[in-house]
Amino acid sequence: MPQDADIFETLRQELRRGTLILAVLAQLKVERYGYSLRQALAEVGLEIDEGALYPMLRRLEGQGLLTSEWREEDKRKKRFYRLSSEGEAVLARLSAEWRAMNDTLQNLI
Amino acid sequence: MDLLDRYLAAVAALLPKDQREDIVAELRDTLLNRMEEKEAELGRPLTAAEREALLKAFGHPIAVAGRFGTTRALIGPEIYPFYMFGVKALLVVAAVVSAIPAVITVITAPGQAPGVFAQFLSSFISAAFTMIGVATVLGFAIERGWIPLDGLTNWKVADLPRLDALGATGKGFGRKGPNRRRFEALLEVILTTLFVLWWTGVVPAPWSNRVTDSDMVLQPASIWATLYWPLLAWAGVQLVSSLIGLLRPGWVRIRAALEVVCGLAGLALAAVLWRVGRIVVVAPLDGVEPHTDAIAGLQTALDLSLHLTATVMMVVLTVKIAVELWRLFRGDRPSVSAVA
Repeated sequence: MPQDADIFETLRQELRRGTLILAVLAQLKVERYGYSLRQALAEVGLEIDEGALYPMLRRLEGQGLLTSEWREEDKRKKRFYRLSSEGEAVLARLSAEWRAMNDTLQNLI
Repeated sequence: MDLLDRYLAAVAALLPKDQREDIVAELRDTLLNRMEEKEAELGRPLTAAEREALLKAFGHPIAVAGRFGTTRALIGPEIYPFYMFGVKALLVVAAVVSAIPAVITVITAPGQAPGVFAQFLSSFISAAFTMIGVATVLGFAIERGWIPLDGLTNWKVADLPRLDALGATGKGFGRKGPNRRRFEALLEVILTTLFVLWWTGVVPAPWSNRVTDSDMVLQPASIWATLYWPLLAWAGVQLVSSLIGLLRPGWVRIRAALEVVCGLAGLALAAVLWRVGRIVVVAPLDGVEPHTDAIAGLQTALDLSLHLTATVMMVVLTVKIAVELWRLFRGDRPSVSAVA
């Protein structure tokens, strides 16, 4: 039988999953590489595990929402990601959806 | 090769070839960034133990590589209920198939009864694991679309039988729920298929015809040769009826009609067997001196059992035919127009 803490953690992760994608897309309006993206998210209070971040970036790129290119910075090759034009459109729609849900939930909780 | 290279090589070995170089380069950069961050925090280079701890904290190579793969559940949530449904049915089949030789042993050699449970258990475990293995492979293939299963997506609400599974209205109390009916239909399909395979000699019988701990064998009586094709036809009709019960449970009248045909055929079969009076012949083992008394005793017991079984069969089948005729007359399917 799952404990209350386990149930809370599972529900918390489910709640975070969708919002993290929105946060990643929003942060990639500016070009970033994986590590700097993770730091940028952490600075605004959204910690994300690298094990989840990199596969997510690849998936979003595969879906055409991100573009990427390898460039050298600080004498090391890094892969820079940014929103594609399709990604910008999807981010705008998701943001509107998020605000609507947020407004609704504010009245409920 | 330092620890980082060893770690990345272990991850690379598990990645898809076309993405390997790309992913490893990105992981290398990430890990180097982490190391540099840690060194800046400590104000000194990391020791070998600290580097190892950092890599360990990043995750086991199998887990790290797995996140980049297209890992999917063996059997996903959409298929799982059907899988569990099938597994339950197969467990019942395994129990039935394992019980048959055990029952035969109890009837023909009562002295061996104490060992029968162990024999049943051993046979059941073996059969159950094999069947669950086959069901899992099938579920895996269906999950990946290698076996298209139209019935899971292409179905009509109007084809569902009108059943009050929860008995919420009180009207359905005591009736079989839709899952139970489907479960029974699946069980019928599996058992009838097994029978057809055994009857046609495709698979051998899971029991020996030798009477345990004796020099006697049980041979089929000549009546079975006469009944070969009629029985095969009967099994065919039964299979069609059971498949309808499983895949199109709303076709109540068609299934009822087929069940009436099967019931009448079963009634005729029971009557023929009752008249013939013998379905197995007890004979001595080849090259063994016959024990006439023992053979005659067992033959009489089996003939009496047949008469009793045939009589019970005729009563049960008569009731079944009456029930199916009632279902055929009444139907059990919701009226779509009435609902709409």
